[in-house]
Amino acid sequence: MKKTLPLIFLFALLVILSCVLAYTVLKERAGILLATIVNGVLLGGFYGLTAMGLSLVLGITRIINVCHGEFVVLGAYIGYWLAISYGVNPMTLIASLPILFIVGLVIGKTMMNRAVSMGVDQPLLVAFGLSLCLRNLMRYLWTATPRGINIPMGGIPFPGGTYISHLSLIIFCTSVVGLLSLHLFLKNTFIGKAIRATGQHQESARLMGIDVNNINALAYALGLLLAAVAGSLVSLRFSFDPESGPMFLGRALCAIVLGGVGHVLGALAGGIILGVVESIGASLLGDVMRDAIVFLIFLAILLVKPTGLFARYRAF
Amino acid sequence: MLVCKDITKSFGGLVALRGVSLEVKKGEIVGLIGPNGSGKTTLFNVICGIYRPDKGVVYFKGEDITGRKPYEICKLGIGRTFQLVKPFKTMTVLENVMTAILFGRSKFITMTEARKQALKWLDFVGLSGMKDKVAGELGIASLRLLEIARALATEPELLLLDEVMAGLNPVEVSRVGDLIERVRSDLGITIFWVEHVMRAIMKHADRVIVLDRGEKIAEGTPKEIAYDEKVIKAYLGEPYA
Amino acid sequence: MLRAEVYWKSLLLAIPIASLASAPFLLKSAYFVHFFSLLFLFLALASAWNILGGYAGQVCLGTGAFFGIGAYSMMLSLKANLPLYASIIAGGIAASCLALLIIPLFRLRGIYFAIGTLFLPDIIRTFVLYFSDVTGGAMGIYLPLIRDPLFAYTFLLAVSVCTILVTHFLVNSRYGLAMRAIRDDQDAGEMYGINATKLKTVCLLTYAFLCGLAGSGYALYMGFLDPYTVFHLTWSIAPVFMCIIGGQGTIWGPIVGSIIYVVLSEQLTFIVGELHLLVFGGILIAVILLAPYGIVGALKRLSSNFVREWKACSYAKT
Repeated sequence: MKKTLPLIFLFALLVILSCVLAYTVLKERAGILLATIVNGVLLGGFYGLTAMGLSLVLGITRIINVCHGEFVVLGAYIGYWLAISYGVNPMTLIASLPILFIVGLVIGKTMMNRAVSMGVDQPLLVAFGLSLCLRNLMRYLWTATPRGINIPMGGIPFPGGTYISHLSLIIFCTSVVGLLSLHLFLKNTFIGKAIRATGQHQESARLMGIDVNNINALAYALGLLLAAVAGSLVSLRFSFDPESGPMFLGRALCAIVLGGVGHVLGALAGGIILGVVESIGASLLGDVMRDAIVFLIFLAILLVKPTGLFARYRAF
Repeated sequence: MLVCKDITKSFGGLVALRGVSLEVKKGEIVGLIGPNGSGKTTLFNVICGIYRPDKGVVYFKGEDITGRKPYEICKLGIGRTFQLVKPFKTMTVLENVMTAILFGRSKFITMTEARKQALKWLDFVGLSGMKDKVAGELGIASLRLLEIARALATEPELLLLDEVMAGLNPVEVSRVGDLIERVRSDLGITIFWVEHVMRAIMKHADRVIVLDRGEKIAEGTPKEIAYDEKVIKAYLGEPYA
Repeated sequence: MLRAEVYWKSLLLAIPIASLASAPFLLKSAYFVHFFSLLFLFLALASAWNILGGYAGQVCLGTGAFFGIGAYSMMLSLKANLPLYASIIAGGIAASCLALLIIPLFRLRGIYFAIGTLFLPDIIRTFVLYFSDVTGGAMGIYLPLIRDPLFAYTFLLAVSVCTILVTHFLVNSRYGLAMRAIRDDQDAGEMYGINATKLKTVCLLTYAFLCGLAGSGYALYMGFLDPYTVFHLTWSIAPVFMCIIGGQGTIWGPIVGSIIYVVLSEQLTFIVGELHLLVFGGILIAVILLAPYGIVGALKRLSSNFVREWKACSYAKT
């Protein structure tokens, strides 16, 4: 933690400096640029939340859960259909959490544990197969029509004629709260410590009496739980369809490589950086390039500096 | 033949090697001993190019080989066995040695010729009977012989043996010991040898170097270092010095 | 292998290839041409993937990118009035150039190479859509020639035979030994003189070139390309599926796998309709977890076990 604080400081400073620079250089358009940056930060918070589930699974079980995006979409669908039937309230939003948690436990115990025992490639391929299955299942059940809930909400006006929506702020706050509670859970509870121990060294954890297989399944289930949380928020803000999985997976992976694996704050910071860069890039190059920007950044980081900016340990 | 000057290597906060300097002359059998964790395997890894030292230089036949890639170093003439044997598990014993022949040398060689030479090397170490067995099925004694055969097949001038006797019973220990002597006398290969089986080192080594906690604490003939105070202290502790 | 062995084995192979090559002209069945063109296409992709994934041990999840870039490069070269064969080769070369860009990914562990390639098709597709005035964008691009299914069929047959031959020569050469060595233990391989990165790079470039050629064949066969079909996930999943089911790291594996894949994808749509991809995914997971060596792999293991048991028994008798 002590080593990363100066980095966070530096990053914050860079953002502020670039804002000031932007303002002095493009006076009339500075307002829009600033709004884009702020929106990027808010978006980034959400990306951090999406990333956290994936980061947890990767850090603890060493599985790259490439079906994470599909589970986010599944969570979004559950939240959406419940909201359509029963209205948008905290209950419908939370309903997807236990469902995906249990699904995660089942998948973790049956498929993933076995796949991990077989080698390094197998879990990835199994997750790949799962993503295919989920996509097809969701398409069959709910058709390919894009879905989304439109909640009319006001916003805070911003210089330059734009505004920051209240919804974005709420989602950002939810993400931060979610991440903080995860951090506290991992740090202070008994199970949280068992999870962290298993993630650091499986053999030693086993010798300490920790049932590593169950903990791995639990970590996987927690990853899906976080995906469900992200999914619930997705249904409020974005439009999604069964093929939206890669969109979320890409941003999650990118946030992780930017912020370092297994690091809660890193996922958030990575998400924010990604959100800002994506928003600025989209306003410059056009909305159609949004996904490509994210994927390109991801590839670039992998090629150049795979440990990420705040990596606590190198999982690569 | 091999000169290490002031090798220092740390991993995060742990200093594995601290200013280690030594020399191995052509035709010698030099032993490297020391308590566990003293940095012996790390030193081997540095010499072979698996790790790059933080400080210090490794010279081989007068040439600076510090930090070069392992496959380059192999082609230059350094062969190595691993402490925890690393056979190519899905390939047969013969194929294991053939791979070393085809890639470990700087000269080109045809497949048929490589096969012939592989059989020759298996014969030298005494593994001819197992040539078609899959390496993953061998017992530890045969695996150690395979490691040696593979390393020899790359036609090294310097052979680094890393605890090649670990896990062997007394009969196997003397067999391998004689094999190592033959490697020096018949093939003229210089040997640098990490070992815990003291009997073997004392019997076969010309000179012994002792490491403790990353530093060289003694050097001399086997008899000299057996009675050296510092060595006894390192292994057994103060009261026994 | 002795000279005589090589001769009669080649003859044995030449017969089915010659019969396949002449079949469409004799049978005059459009369905035959369609089915086998697809089969050869998928066979080529599976065999190419097998070189990188089965032998060199690097799983690539972005085959669609190399396939698609090959297809589009061929189209664009034809439109730029390059001769036909040059355009086809251009497809392969373009895919290899793309492969060159991702070589640094080899520095990472294998699975990170896999996810690095995961989004490659999406990235390339976005570029194709962005430069829509050249590539036709979302509307697609048509072949500036009269579509000739028989030529496409023959070309695809040639590409798949080529791919299998390349695999065969690679595997039986010293590089085959090296690939198995680094797959078993990369550190030991490097210590005994194998430059793992160079080897993997060669496999990657070969794989990419062959996928690019397959893409050219696809463009020739379909006569039309559109970015959503060409860069679809199916092209990335299919080779993985085929090689895992058939058996990675064997020569017959991709052949068996591609036959199963093509037959299944035709039949499944009749049986389960919408859910055929779900079934594919399920089969993939089941095979990975329960029969990781694939069909050919399992057969090989069974037969070697059988041979060993038999030998042991015959020794016991004497």
